[in-house]
Amino acid sequence: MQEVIGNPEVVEHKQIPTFRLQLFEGPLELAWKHCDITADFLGKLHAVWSGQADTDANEIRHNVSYIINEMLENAVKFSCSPCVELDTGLGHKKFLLRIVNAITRDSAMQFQELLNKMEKGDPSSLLIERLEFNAADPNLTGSGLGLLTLMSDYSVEFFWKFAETDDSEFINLEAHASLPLE
Amino acid sequence: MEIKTGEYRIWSEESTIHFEGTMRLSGMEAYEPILKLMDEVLDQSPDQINLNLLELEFLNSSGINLLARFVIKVRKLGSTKISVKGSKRIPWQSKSLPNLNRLHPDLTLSVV
Repeated sequence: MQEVIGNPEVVEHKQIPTFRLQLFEGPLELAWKHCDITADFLGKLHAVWSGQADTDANEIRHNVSYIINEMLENAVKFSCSPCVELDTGLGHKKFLLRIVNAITRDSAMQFQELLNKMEKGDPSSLLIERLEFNAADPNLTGSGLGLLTLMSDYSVEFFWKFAETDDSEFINLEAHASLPLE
Repeated sequence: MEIKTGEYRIWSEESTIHFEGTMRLSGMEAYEPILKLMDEVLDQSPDQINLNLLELEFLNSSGINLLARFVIKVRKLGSTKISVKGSKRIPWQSKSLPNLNRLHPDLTLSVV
């Protein structure tokens, strides 16, 4: 199995950790609500911590909220670990996010295939292509749509680490994301 | 026609569909009732459909998928014009709504 995918520079710079959170497993409906509430809360918190004036703070609040919600929704959907761990931080004009959880080996293989396709293509074209595919087949949803919107519309960069666990059925997934704040 | 929860409200007035609040539903299945409301407006074959998103604060990518699916349906139908109104105050709208124009170049988009 591939061990890393994406831009390693996303994790190379010094992150200033400001927040750590663990979401424990529960019914999907409740976990889904956790994504929304967490995203909302952390969006507001980082807007205040950024020390920006009103307009920029509003932009930071909304954009941070969007990325956290999308990344957490993905993690919650596929997670097999008892908890999803989330670290956030503000870098130089960047919001940094790290999410760790375990997924099945099958999910990891499928996810790697998707990520490799995204790495090779233009995110903006892939997004339009995905929206057309999804519209043509109502049974198709997602398939990286959230990640594509982040890459295409928010210029987010990703770095993904896959690691074996004690249980050969599961893979530990560490997702790093960097969101430009200007 | 109206769908109202603690988080969001969607309602139609003639051929205008209004959205407000936060829509972060868990996938297309959860969005089906909203798509149904939108389809019911389209089924009346209006000359133009207006989507008013001025008060839609947050939308997840599944919600963007919903808007795209509807816009593509209108494009394929060919007989109904569509306009989308958004707000610059709400960052996701400036960032993601232009994608609707790429899916349907005749769509009138105004983010004010």
